[in-house]
Amino acid sequence: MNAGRNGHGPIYCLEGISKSYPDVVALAPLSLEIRREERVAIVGPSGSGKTTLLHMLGGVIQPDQGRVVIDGRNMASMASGREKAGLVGMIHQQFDLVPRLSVLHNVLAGRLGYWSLWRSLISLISPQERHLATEALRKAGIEDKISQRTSRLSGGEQQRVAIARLLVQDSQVILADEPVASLDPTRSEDIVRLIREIAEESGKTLVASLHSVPLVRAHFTRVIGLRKGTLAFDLPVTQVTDDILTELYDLEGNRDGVLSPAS
Amino acid sequence: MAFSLRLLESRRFITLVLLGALAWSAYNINWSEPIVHSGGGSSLVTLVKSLFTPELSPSFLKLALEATWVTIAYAVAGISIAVPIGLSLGLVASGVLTKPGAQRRVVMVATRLFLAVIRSIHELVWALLFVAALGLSPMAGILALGITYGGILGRIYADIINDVPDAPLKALRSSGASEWKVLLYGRLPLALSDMLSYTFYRFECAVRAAAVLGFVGLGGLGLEIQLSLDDLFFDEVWTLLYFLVGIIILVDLWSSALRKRLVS
Repeated sequence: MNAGRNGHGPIYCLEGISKSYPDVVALAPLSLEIRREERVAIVGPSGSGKTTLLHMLGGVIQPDQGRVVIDGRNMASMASGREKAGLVGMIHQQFDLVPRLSVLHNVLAGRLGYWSLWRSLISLISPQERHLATEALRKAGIEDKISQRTSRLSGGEQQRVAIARLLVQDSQVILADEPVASLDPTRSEDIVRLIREIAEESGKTLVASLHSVPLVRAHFTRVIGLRKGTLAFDLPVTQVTDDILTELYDLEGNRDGVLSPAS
Repeated sequence: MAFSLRLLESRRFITLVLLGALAWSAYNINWSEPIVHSGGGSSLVTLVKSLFTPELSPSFLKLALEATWVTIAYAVAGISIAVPIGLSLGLVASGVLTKPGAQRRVVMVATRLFLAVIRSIHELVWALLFVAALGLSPMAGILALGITYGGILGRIYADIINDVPDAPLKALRSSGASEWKVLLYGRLPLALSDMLSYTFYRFECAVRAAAVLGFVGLGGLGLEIQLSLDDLFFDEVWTLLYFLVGIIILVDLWSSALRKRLVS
């Protein structure tokens, strides 16, 4: 479990990170470690700080206090671009692709962190490293869509394009913020399985926020429960009981009803 | 500076200014004189009659066709200058390539002001200025169009580039893309169809403006319309106007065909 591809020790070290917005505390000081090749699910009611935490893990936002150490380096002091691209990649609930571009270009956008500006420009005319995109789309199961315009794809297919983009980025950590919130249950299972397989095959660390308990139980090794921006529990998946989960959601008078029944 | 710009663009402020202008102009009309010129009736009848009897002799059609060609050439050349001006200044004015801070605000406001200045002078006035400087050369008309329309396009391009949805851009940044790459792979593809349709609309306006530039003596439909009007040949005027309408319709068809291909 501990040996990573490139280094030793935990991939993530969160040292008392916190974040406040004008009228809410998004995340109270939080400290924890994530080991290499762990598959961590973050659960909790809406507004519990899941997205804030994931964005800080991805270096998209910086904590007000404390620091995020990734692979032994301080996230805040890391210049973006190549170095960061090799460490963290992210997929979102709304896929966040550029609808007008072809599937191929959306996938190759995962290489932008590695390419020079000049090469990025040339690639729009004569696609660079096309084999990487083909291979990633094959793994994601939509190789045949490579030259289609992305706006024509269904939600599930677009999520696969986002996954292929992450594959060509080839980061050590995969962060997924509600990756299946807008998909039906069958597609959700397929997509989460795909992300899990990708993480497992190439020894990547996976951190995802999810609402579906069956998916968490089936595909993750560790569960972190958040409530009102504080840590409610942090347990191996085998020790997470229905009671613990019910308590996490119910104590808050949670009304969004997104907690699926355990299977 | 940013605050004062926002005030100038606020709806309430603009409404007040426009209402004030309306009241002021109503106050200044000399209501004791008839508003419609009484002797104009007969020439109005001639004008309307000739609407149905445009001049269609081959020699005049040839002349109208040549004038149309000149007008289109002016419009195309003018837009060809306006688009690069608009793109480059619009990019600077949008501020998407510079880091947030006081320096960016200064550059953005200065560029927006510059764009406002060059477009607030009408193309006809620019044309008169350039005719004074360059003589009656086509370059005067083309520059006049290019500069005014560059100012208009720059302003609109900046707004469109600023207003694209943010989420895809964040995703690109999170995969390590610099702002230039975000521009190439996110902002421009997301903004393209809006920019294109606005450019085509402006091309339409440029055709009309190019026709009017003829009145300054720069040739094309405007010049011919003026010559025919001077001789009171209304049927010729109508022929020329029909050609003008024809170009506008053609441009419209072309732009919607192109947009359809881009969107689907």
